[in-house]
Amino acid sequence: MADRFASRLARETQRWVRDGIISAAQAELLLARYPVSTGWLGRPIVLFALIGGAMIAAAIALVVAHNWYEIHRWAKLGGLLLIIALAYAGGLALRERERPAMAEGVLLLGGALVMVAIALIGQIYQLSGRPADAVLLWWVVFVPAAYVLPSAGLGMLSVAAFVTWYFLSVSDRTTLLGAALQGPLFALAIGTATFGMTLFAAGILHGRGRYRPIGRLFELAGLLLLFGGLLPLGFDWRSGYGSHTLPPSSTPVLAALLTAALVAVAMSWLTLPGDTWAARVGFIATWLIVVLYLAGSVAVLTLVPLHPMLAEVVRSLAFANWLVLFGAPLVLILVGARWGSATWINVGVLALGVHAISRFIDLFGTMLQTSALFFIAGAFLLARRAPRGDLRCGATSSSPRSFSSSSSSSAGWRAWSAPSPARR
Amino acid sequence: MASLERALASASLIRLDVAPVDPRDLLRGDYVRLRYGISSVPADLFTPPFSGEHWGETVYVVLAARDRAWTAVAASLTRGRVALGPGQRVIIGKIASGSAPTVTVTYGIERLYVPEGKGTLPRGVIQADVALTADGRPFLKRVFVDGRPYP
Repeated sequence: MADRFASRLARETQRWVRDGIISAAQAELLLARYPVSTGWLGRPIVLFALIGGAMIAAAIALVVAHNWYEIHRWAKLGGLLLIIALAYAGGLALRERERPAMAEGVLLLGGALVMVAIALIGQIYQLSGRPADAVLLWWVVFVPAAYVLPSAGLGMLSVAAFVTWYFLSVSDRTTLLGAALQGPLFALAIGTATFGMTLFAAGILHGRGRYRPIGRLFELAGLLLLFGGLLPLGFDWRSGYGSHTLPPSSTPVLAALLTAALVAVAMSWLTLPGDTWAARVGFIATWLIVVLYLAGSVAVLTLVPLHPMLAEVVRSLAFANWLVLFGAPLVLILVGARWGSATWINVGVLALGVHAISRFIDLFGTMLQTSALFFIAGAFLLARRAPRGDLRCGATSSSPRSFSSSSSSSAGWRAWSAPSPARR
Repeated sequence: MASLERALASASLIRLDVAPVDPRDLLRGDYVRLRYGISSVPADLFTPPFSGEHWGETVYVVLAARDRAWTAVAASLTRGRVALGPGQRVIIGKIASGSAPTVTVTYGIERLYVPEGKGTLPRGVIQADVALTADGRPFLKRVFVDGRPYP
């Protein structure tokens, strides 16, 4: 596997630092020079291994769910804990034997079985608590392993668990999130977009070193939730949100989510790839504008009952949404090309496409308006003077600009011919 | 686990009336959904009187032993307003719904996880042993149908 060298280097540098051969800073420099390819997670052999681990976990979960009433509770729990320990030990052993794909699958199995153990405790003690709490407990218990090892398989599981926790919480009115976000659709949409924004920024915060594969998963999940949340907010332009207002319980929770997103976006500045000041500021400013738009929506929807004149502002929020849904993916594509992130480019293109189709459906019946919107957008894209025409495939990535090592099949597009260090 | 074992070891046992239903949980398996006699608390048992929207709030229900099971004799949304008489116990629940004349309360013991295929209770008088900690946390211990343990 092409990624073996980088994976082994990551392990070896840990030992070298421990043995005093090199300093931690030198280890970081080495890892940055040969970053772990993020593309390897998408390879069939790795995907099969991860799916295999998940299926074995599901098989064991069903054995547990059968409920072996006659077996003593300590025997059941002890047996399961033993299997978890064996899974982690097996995963590490497979890594040592240079079988990273299978290792990730087995580590994922170990992480998934932690959830089964929590379910078993619930079954033994007849606990019928909230599913969201069980998933959060699971996440808290196994997520350190994803970073200590580090494991992309466990990282994938941690992203899935965190997103699952969010939606379970939202769907349960007895949770803080559920009580705040259930009700008007736009409360859920704003909350989901904000949560996605936080995940995306958290993904960037993972940096370019050994945690990059996990960070990329956070980015992917975050972007999908962000654009998925933003999309419904653009549909209410005819009626405005005038007849709706945010329930009093929603505003503080949304404010807390927005604060978390703001902090995450601001902090992500620290881990952006080395590039011109303008490019970095422009990137962060884009996401701050998205957060500002969401915060503005919350503020206006909260204050509408107090100031009827704000109803007109409410309508304009939908139009602002169109701009945000056009601008943010565009920046994502351009910066993704510049910094070598295929994920950003793909999600950006997907978001633009879905936005265009949505607006066409939304404006159906006023074809001239749709035509004008598409014409302006198309002209803007053409006038962007596609980065000196040198968007190119499959560049290598020793450049400090790049987020990740990118083979043509993994990172894909990379643009604006990152100048050599000498040129810069 | 240790705290659960400690809580169970120090808990006392009470018996409640139960009515069954029978779905399945993806991870914990088949279960019987239980509705207790104390799941419906008359609003007039509340001190101060129950009014307004209290959905999801914690409720303290005072139980007293009657002929064959424990029943609710008082309730409050404030711990300090609960006065226990001789032989009475308090159980903690959450307001699920309701207003006058009846408030629906859940206690976190509404599921009995059973072996696969045993999710349907036989007909009969259903009761449950519930371990109650000193602070009012309930644990479902065992269910009885016509006095015989199930499953």
